[in-house]
Amino acid sequence: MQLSKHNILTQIHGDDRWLLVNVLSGQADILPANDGARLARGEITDPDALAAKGYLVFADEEARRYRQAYLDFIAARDTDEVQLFYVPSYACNFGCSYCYQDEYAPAPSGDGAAVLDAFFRYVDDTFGDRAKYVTLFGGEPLLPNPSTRRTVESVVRETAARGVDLAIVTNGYWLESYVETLRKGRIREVQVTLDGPQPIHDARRMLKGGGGTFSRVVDGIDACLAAGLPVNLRSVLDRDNVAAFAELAHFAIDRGWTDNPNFKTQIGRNYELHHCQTERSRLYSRLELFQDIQRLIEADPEILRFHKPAFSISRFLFEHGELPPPLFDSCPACKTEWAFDYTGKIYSCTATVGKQDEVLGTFWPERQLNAADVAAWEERDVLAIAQCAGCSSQLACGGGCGSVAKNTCGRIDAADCRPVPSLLSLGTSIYGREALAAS
Amino acid sequence: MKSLIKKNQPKAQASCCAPATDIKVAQCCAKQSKVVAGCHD
Repeated sequence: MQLSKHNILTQIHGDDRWLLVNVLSGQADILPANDGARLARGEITDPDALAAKGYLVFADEEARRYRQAYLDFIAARDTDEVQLFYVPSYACNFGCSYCYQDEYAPAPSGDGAAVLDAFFRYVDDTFGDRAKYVTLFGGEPLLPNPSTRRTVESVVRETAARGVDLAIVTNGYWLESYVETLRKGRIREVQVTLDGPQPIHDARRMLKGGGGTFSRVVDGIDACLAAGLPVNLRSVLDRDNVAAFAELAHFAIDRGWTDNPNFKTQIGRNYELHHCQTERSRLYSRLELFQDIQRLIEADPEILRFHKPAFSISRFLFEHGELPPPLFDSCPACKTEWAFDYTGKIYSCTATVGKQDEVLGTFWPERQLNAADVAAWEERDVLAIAQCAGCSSQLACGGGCGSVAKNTCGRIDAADCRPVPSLLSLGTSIYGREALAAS
Repeated sequence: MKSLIKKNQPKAQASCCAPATDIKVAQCCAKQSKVVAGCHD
């Protein structure tokens, strides 16, 4: 027997004990300091206990389980819900300091109604028998001009008529004025962004030409929650605003948002996507960001009422008392995610939509899809990525983002690694306190 | 070793003898990682 290729062993942050996790066998244990240190050196102290939990395996037996888990993953994904993004325009009223779309040169708009009609016909024909939902994306999809309002009303009406949920990604500035329109639809959630308390947010997410936006966004969130529309509040963090994250959390708590079951949050890392930002020094790596967030939570645990970071699979482990199933692929592009824009073009995902060199085909004025390009996205998973082959974290990481990999390495089938052991170490120090105290 | 697993599930040793479908693969992990926008990070 040999140690499993999928053992993830990491010393718990701020503790002398170790966490041992194996996503393939579904086991997770806390090891005493000495046992963990010896296992880290490859010493096997208790083979029976390790074998009983799949940490010590016969290689061929583990290979069989891996293959079966992969087949199950693919089968399950083939029936999973598809998210279909629609971009009615790349125009935006914000001039955010970190906008990755600011170099896009949008094509002039044509017959928006005809393109939207073609989009829904494409959805019916291509995804008719799949579970799915539509997400309005941009640019900013909730601008106040009459043609945009007509488009949003059409999308709300057409999705509802099909029994399909609708999500909206908006900067929130005109959100309050759209609430009555949205209430007529099947709204899954409205994603809005606040980057901090008012001075911080307004310095990062200002109107084009200047002007704060915080109060309008807050009013929009209040209006959605009052109308029963789910809100997903995103905060884009980097070194410039992370210190104010606790203040934003307390703002949300004091406003009663965190007590509302329709309110949830997510963190977006400000990172290099398509072109150089003016101040790269403010950008975090994934690990650096969550190291600082862990420190913030240690200093002020009330933050967890506002947001509970995943820290890889550690939050899932401690909330559910089990591990998530093996993740053979974390990139949804062309599998459970597609993006479409008002020019009739088709893209793989939100990271590629609007980039002319990422066009996969068209749904208007005629339908055409580049099968080879689509296949490259479809085939991307940890089995296709050479760097994943020897990585013990592959089934928790899933190979990362294909678009980031392409930007970094020039290839879709390259790894965009998540620092899984370090994130588990940090997450266990936050979510595993009870278990650590009892062991 | 202190287990952090609270739910009953087949042990790895048993699963090599049992049908491979004993290892259930649900979608919660994929769904957990899917957010409206920003899954690329």
